[in-house]
Amino acid sequence: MTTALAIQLLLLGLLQGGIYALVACGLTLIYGVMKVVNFAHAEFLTLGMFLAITAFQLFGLNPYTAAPFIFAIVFILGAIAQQIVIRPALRYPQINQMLITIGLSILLVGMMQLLWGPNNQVVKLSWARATFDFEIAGGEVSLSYVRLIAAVVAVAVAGLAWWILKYTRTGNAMRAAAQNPLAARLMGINVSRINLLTFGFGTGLAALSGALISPAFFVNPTFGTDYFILAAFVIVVLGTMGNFVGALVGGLIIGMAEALGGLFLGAAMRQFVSLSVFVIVLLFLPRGIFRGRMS
Amino acid sequence: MKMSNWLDWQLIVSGIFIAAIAAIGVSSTSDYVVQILVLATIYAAVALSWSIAGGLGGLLLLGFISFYGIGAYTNGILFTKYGISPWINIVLAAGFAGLLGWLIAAVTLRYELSEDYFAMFTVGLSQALKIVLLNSEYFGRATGIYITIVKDDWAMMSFVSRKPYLLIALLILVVIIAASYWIQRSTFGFRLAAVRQNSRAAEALGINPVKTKIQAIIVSGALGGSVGAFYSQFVTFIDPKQVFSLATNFEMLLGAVLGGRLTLIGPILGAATLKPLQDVLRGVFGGEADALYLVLYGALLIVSCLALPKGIAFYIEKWHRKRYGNS
Repeated sequence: MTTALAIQLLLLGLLQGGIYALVACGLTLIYGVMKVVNFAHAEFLTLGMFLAITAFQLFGLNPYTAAPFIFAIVFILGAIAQQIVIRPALRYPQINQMLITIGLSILLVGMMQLLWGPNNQVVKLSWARATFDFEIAGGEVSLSYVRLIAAVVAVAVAGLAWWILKYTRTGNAMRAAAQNPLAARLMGINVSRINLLTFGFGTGLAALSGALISPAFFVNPTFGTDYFILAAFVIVVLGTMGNFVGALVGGLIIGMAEALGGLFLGAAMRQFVSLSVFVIVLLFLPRGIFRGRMS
Repeated sequence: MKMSNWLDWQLIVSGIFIAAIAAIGVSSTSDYVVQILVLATIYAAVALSWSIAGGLGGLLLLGFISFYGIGAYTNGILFTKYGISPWINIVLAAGFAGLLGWLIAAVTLRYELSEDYFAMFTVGLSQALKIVLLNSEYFGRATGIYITIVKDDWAMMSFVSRKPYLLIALLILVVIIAASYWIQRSTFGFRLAAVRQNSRAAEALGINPVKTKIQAIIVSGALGGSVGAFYSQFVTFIDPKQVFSLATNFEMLLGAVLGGRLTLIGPILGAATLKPLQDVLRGVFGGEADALYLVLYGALLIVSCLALPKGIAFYIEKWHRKRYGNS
């Protein structure tokens, strides 16, 4: 293997990792604040991709212009979903909560299939296949602009989200609710409102990731479950469930691990790499790389 | 066996139910009806297998389809490549699936990890298994495995007609009902209930919660695997996307949840309602039926978890208690 090829693979892994990070941030945030594993998370990513397709076909908007609107729409949809189905579920045992988010996931897949049909679609951006090429270590490295933009924006948005959590009143309220909902309530924080915002925000981030990658992947209603849910689970477990920075770091690690694993096992076996990491984490690092700290 | 005992009552009612299905199937002239009855029986059998760990054990064994898929491939490979009889493969499939259950338990139940990890791991595993099989030459990649049946042969569980399969499916269901019934009356069943209700208290009474959970996963998985093996022989065609499908997985679980996952008749009742419902929808809506069915059963799953957290069977149990005035 040449050095250039290795660099190419690592960079590709890093780009994929950036997207993983943004998807996983939303998942880990929801878990951290509400202690709910959102099995419907990947469906919100798929929804973001389909909305990008509609924005492109109907209004001629490219996915990057449409992204803020898609985030806003899914934020609202997510908040509504939380109000109607997640909130009443919080007082039931865990298995009911999980089955409810699974029900939500199935419902969303069905609705997307009704609205957009079961077949593969893509945003036909004219420069979707354009690449950024440069020479390094005596070989050529070529990266697709779409993936490059997606990863850079994803990491920037995740950084912004981290800043919001750390330095705004609402962000602090979210972190307080994550640490101790009862104490947060006693301090005058409206925890149900925080839950609403958190779920909307988390699912909005997933949809935003979907919009960003929509020119690069063919999407169908089960796209999210097929390609993202396992990686997202592994990342939040690796980065300690509920830990926002952990999800960022974990996303990048898993992205690169999959790229390297793909090299040795074949590209299609990437998910197997994720699963192996899952097993290793469960066996040797059961509390994740941040040792169980939530924020 | 007394009608006044809730568990016995369920066993008797399930027996009558199975006899009725058998009678309908055998006297039916339509292959289509028999096909639906077999599939409904398979779903009931899987739901009931799951309910041992997922219901009685209270474990978040959400990715149950792994066991079913492993079972389906066990028969697919052994039958087509080595000509081994499905009767043997069903038992071997139970072995492989049980082994998988033990491995899952060994990885996830260490260090008293939170149940969330367990749930996410089982779901992730089913999808990873799907990917591995999709990329393995030996298992036929995405094309899957075709089982060719040319003539009737009891020893090889091969029939041109669909009817014998219904009888075998019902036989499998009877075995699983018997297993669940026996478990609910045995000390193992009581240990499961204790661990489900309060793991710490159970431990204080000298029950090993981890060991009990591992046993439940192995039993559930083994039963699910043998149903999968039969399924592959029945449909004669399997591919990874079908036998490791998360949609199918949750559809089977919904049967158990909607019916009542802590009971014997609940999972049977749930599967018996849902599977024919799907086919009615398909008849009414045609091409869009699959999507509508997804919407409907997603909504049903949510509503049944919120409104009927204990399932339909809970209300039957209430009626039973009133009717017989005891236990």
